[in-house]
This record gives sequence, C-alpha cells and structure tokens, in this order.
Amino acid sequence: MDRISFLGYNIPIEVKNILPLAQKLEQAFTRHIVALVVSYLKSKKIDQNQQEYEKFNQITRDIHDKLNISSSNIVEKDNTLDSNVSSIVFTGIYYILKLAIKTKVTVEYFQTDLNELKLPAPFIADLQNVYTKLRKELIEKVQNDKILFPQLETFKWRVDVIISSSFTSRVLNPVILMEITDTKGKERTFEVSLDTFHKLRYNVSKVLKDMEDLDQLPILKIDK
Amino acid sequence: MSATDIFTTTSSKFNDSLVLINKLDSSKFPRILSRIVQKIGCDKSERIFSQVEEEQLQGVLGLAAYELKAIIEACSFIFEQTAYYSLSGNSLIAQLQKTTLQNDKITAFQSVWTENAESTLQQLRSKSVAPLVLGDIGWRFHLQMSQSSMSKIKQPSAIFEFDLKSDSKKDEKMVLEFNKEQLQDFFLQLELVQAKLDSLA
Repeated sequence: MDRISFLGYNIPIEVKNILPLAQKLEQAFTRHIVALVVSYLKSKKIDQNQQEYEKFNQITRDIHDKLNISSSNIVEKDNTLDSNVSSIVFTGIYYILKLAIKTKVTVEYFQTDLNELKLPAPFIADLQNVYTKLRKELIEKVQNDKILFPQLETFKWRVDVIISSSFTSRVLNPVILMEITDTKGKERTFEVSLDTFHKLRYNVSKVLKDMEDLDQLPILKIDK
Repeated sequence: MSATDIFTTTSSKFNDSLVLINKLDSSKFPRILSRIVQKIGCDKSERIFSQVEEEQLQGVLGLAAYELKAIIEACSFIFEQTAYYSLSGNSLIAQLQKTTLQNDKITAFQSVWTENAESTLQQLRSKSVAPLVLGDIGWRFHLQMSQSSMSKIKQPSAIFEFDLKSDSKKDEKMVLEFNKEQLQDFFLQLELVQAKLDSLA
C-alpha cells in the first residue's frame, strides 16, 4: 500500500489506548464524548483575547465535569474499566479528529483508515458522520487560527493642504494624515508626505501584483 | 503676501550688526552666507559653524567673538524672513536697499539666495510638526506552507513594516500582516487617497 494512514506510520499512543476499550463501550457513551470533542475543537483558538479565553476555560471545565460524570456511570456498571475511561476515549477521539483535520484526509480514506484499526462499526460510523458534517468548517477554522503578526483593524486618513507655517508663509503642499489601529489595539497617528505616500502606494500595489502572479503559477496552486 | 518693509523696522541691535557686515571683506562674505542659508530651518540648537570654525573666522575676519555672533544672527534673520515671505532675488534687493547695507553686500545676499532659494523653500515647506512621520516602508511577501495544526497549506501573505520617525522620542516601527483580501482592501483605501490628491492637482 503506497498511501499512509492519516494517523501516520505509527498509530499515536493516545489512539492506541482506546482500541482495547472500544468494544466494551456503549454507543450512547461514545456519542456523548464525540460531541464533547467537537465542542472542544470548535472553541479552541490560538490567539485568544481575555474574553475568549474565559469562555474557553468555561467550556473545558464543562467538558471535564461531564467526563467525570459519564465515567462514573460506566464504571459502576462494569468494574473492569478504568475510572479514567472517558478521559482516555476523549483524548483518543480528539487525536483522530485533530490528525484528520491536519492532513485534510478525505472522508473515504478517513473511514478506510479507521477500519484498519478494527474499531467497532457503530463507533466508526459516528466518527465518520461527524467528520463528514464538520470537515469543511473545522479545516477552515484551523486554517484561520494561526499565529499572526497584528493585522490592520481600522484605517482612517485625512488629506490636508498646508497653507503656511512658521518657516514660510506660503506652502500649499498636501500632506496625508493616517491613523492606523492594529488588531492588538495599538493605535498610531502619523503624517505621510506626498513622496512617502507614493512609495507606500507603489509598494502595496507591487506586493498585490506579486500575489496575483503567484496565483498564476501552476506549480503553486493556491488553496482557496 | 510680501510685506512692505520687512527689515527696516527691526531693532538697533540688528542695525549695529549691519554696520559690522558692511565692514567685512566682500570676497569672503558670500562663502559665509552660503553656509548660513543652508542651515535655515534647522534646529536652533544646532550651530551653523563649529567652535573651531568660529575661531578661525574670528582670526581671518579680525572680529571679536560677540561681533561674529551678531553677524551670523543678522544674516540668519535676513534669510529666515526672505524664506518666510518667499522673496524673489529682486524683491530681496529692493528690501535690503531700504537698510543701511552696502551694495556689494546686498549683491552677495541676492546671489546666494537666488542660488539656494528653491532647495531651501522646498525643504522648509516639507518640514513637519507632526510627532510621528512615516519614513521607510519595508515588506516581505511569503507563502505559508504549513503550521502546527495543519500541513499542506499554500497561502500567500505579506508583512509590512512602517518606520515611524519621531523628533522627540525614539523612532517606532509598526508591523502589520496582510493576506490577499486584506491587502486589496488596504490598496482600495490608498486609491481613494490618491483620487483625492489628484483632484487637488
């Protein structure tokens, strides 16, 4: 076989751990955990602001509580199971979905690779279901969630014509005043002379053109 | 906008300085003037001549330190006024003829000013009082290939660095990252500014 499983050459230990458990688990229980993993994936974000951070903390606390409850229910019924079972299953499912998104594996291969693991059919069906439904949304989310330099938040400008100054009584030169706020909240107001403005405009259009030229290169088909 | 008498109404100190200027050697005077005119509009704390140069000038011209200082100040004042009212060479002659300045010195002022008028005025007009002025613009354009949470990405992205020059404080840098869409938006804004500038021309 020339294709490698989306889980990699070596199945991650986190995924391996759920293999012996999977057969004993009820579908309702795994479904519940899949739902928790999804809510975790959806709310996870690299570049959080304070508000998002608190919200995310709340969600993880929720997940943690729910995992404890469902775990204790299971363990009561079957004492051969580890009391951490729900955490193990949660981690395993999280790894499966995370790696699937990372490699952007197709739904077909996703199913094939999971079958190789000999996971129970209903379990795979549930995962596949979720993956089919959320593949696009999660891939997009992960793609947009990356470390970035600050970006332009607001851009305001003003064009002035200087009439006179302490140095000379007739100036009649235009200058541009710009106010830029970035996404980190840094705000700067500065003056741009006519020459510098032309330089700025030239450079921006040059980079834009470079970006467009790059789109034309067949070797570098750009992901939209 | 040129005022009627821009040099005659000034203080006796100025008139005393003119007397000193009249005594100067006319062959050396233009060279002093061209140095002075180049420093118009510069920071006042900056010296026009260095300490050593001033001492040399005192020796060559046979002047006391306070006399040389008076001469330099008077010449600076004349050029500052000339620049402020954007006088032509001929108007400058007309204005100086109303003072006690002798003809050979007036000609010196006129020829030095005619030579330097354009560059001096240009420089003065572009002087800014804004605390921050955009200086250099640097950028880097790259293609993102992968990230910790995702492999096989191809996304173009550009980082711009704006150098903001400051008179009083340290210069600042502002770094902004743009993807294609964001850069297009930014460019459209710049085009609006350009359209405004075009309408002024």
